[in-house]
Amino acid sequence: MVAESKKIQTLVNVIADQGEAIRLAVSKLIATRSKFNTANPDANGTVVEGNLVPLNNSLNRINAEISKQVWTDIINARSPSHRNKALD
Amino acid sequence: MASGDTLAIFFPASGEPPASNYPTLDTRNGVLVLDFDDTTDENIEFAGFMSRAYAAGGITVTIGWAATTATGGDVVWDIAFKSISDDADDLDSKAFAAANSVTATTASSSGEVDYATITFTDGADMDSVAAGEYLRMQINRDADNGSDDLVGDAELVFIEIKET
Repeated sequence: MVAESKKIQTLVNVIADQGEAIRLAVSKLIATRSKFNTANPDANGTVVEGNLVPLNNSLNRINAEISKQVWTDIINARSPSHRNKALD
Repeated sequence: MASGDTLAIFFPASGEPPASNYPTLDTRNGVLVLDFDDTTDENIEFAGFMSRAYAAGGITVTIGWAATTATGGDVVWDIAFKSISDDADDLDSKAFAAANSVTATTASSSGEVDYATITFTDGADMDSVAAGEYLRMQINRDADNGSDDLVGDAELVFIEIKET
């Protein structure tokens, strides 16, 4: 039976991998938002008309959550040579 | 051969892997190592020849290994022998003798090498390998053993066989 410590490490590694992916995605969205605001195109009649504010608010909330220290701590605890199979 | 004298030494480059579930070659600061997974049992074999100076006093196998990154935890290593005697043993069917094991604690720093030892009494315990005989040695990391709690790869650096 696989040791408990390895099951925990699998969880840590998966959270770390996905957490970093979310941070990267959020970073790209924030950069694109900045470019969009600079360009300031006319959104009338497009799918984003009326949706920019709620999208902006959602992105800010996601960024606030994924930036929390708990995610950083888990990412820093990742073990690169652990294969993430202990929960299979 | 006197007690404590080296009979054979093996290094990662001479490992002979099975078709599946084998450790992978890696380098660490230029040193060739074999990386053993921490959740799937992996094994590899080494071909050898028992020194003609072996005095049938039994052997001690020393496994030199290091953790890839961990600085705490234990690894369970298994060693088994298979002798191929003159005009007696069939390469196609001869099986390994039962393995002997050691639960080894990692060194305090991940780059440090721990020397873990396993003893074998002369005779059936080491498949009756005699002086002047071809032998095969198998090393396995028992990764799904509950006592093996080292997270991440265990890296094999060398194996030494000496007269006990």
